[in-house]
Amino acid sequence: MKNSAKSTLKSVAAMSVISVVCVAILAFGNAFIPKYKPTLDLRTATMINEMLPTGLSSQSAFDEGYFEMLDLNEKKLAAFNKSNRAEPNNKVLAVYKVVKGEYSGYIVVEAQGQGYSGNAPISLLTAFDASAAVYDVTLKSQNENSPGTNGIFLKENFDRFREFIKGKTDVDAGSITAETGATSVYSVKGVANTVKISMKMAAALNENGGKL
Amino acid sequence: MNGKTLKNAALGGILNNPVFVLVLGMCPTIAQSNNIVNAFGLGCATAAVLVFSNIAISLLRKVIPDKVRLPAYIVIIATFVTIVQMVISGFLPELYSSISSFIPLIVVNCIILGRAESFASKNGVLASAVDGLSMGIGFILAISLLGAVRQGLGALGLTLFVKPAGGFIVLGFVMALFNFLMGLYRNRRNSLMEA
Amino acid sequence: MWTTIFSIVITGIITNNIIFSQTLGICPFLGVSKKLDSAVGMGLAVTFVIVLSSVVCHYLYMLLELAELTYLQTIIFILIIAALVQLLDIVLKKASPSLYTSLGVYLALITTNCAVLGTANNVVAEGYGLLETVVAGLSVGLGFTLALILMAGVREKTQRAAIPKPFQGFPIALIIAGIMAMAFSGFSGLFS
Repeated sequence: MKNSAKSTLKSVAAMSVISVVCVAILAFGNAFIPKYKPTLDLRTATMINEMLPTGLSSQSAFDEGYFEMLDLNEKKLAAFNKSNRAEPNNKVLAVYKVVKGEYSGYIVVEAQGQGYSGNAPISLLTAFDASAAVYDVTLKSQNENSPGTNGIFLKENFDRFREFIKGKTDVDAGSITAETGATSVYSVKGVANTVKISMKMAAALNENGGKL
Repeated sequence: MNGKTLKNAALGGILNNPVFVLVLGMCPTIAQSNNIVNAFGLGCATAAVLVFSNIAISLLRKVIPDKVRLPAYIVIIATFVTIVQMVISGFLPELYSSISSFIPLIVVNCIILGRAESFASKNGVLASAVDGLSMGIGFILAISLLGAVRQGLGALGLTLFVKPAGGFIVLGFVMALFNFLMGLYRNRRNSLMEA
Repeated sequence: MWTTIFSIVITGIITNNIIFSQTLGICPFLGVSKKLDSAVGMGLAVTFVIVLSSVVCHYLYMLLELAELTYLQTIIFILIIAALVQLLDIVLKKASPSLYTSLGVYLALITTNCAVLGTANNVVAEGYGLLETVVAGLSVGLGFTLALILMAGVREKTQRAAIPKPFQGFPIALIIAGIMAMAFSGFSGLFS
């Protein structure tokens, strides 16, 4: 009896020590390992410059501060994403604002959505005018490995999509398919979800005076 | 630490390949090998956890009571998995988006628990580290090979192979090929020894 | 709400089958699917663990979120699963010794079944409520059991076939699973 009580005590003690040390390591890691934050880099600035031309080269526009990244409260962004997403990978990553030039006041929402499962999410930049209606869309990245022969990212299909989406404040996958004839079902769904959450973000910012 | 154990441990990744011979770690192998970047990334993450957990468990092998062996190993492995998750999500966000649902599953990857149980708990730190590295590299090679084959076949237009069904089939064939080659190697070695 | 429940059921069992679509839970799938009765027993045991662990983890995650300790998710979830499997071990030993012996070492291996941890992580990521979590867990378990039963049926028959030596054992089982996965992927447009 004494022996088994002693060995149980030893087991509990060992488990406790190991658990405490491991949790401490994790807390340490959580505090010190940097979390990824999207930034306004030249590549993104180039894409924004193409959608909302400043009249300058992308490098100059970038250097002269034509575009700014909105400083959104992390917690509020996470809460917004949680309640507005269509699936776990569907989220708004960042919002940029044009502060100088012809398109001053326009915002660009960078968002992502899952296409075919197993790939990196589709990432789109959607530009909105001052009334939170879509002005244009650019593809930031996609890695779909089942694009088929008539996927949504085929230039003609994507251009047709951009024409179709201009001025809209809501969208669904079915209308994109009908409009473009694209056959990559899940990619279209990813694109639709991405643009939809971007629209919701634009609307939320518009109602709240540029804040969440 | 004798040289023989080290040598066997070092070669273990090939002769005792975790995927093709031990048939462990099947889930990530089939699920994430449809794309060579994901395959390599997940392979490296798994190998990193394997090496660190082998070292940690080997260091603590005399201290962990036998009764709580399994929960202790699990806590240690889970810690390393979470650290790897934090590092990948912080520094490689695009890779992270593709494999994020499989990183936590590294903790139940039979390879890691299997090597902890059968090797690290019974051998010194250096041998365990070598074993972890060798098995880890063996795993990376296996999953990347499958990734290359599946993505290559997919690029040729045979989209079946980038889907889960294709994953099963490609793994089955590659495993059979590996068995065949191993059989040839063993026959050759045996006939050389008899000669 | 009922349409969501229905779609979770169809997704879990057929269109996103844990074995044939999500490819999780392969190790026990290959190991236990040789005979029909052990397949059913394993399926039920795994379903039990999946449902219980998903529910417990659902509540624990809410606590972790409140305490801002979400980085402890992996470590806590897997400890819960290990504890539940231990519990199942004790319960089965008394309640059904025949099932206990037929499962053998695979009972403890349920802890390392990717399907269990994978489903717990899934229900948390999707943000399901209690009812949806239970339904999702049951559907995944049923899908797993279904896959095991189908596989066992085919493998029992192929045991008498003449298979070339390199393919014997796991390779041929994998190829059979692949063919079944092809059949299941035909359902993918169903009720999307």
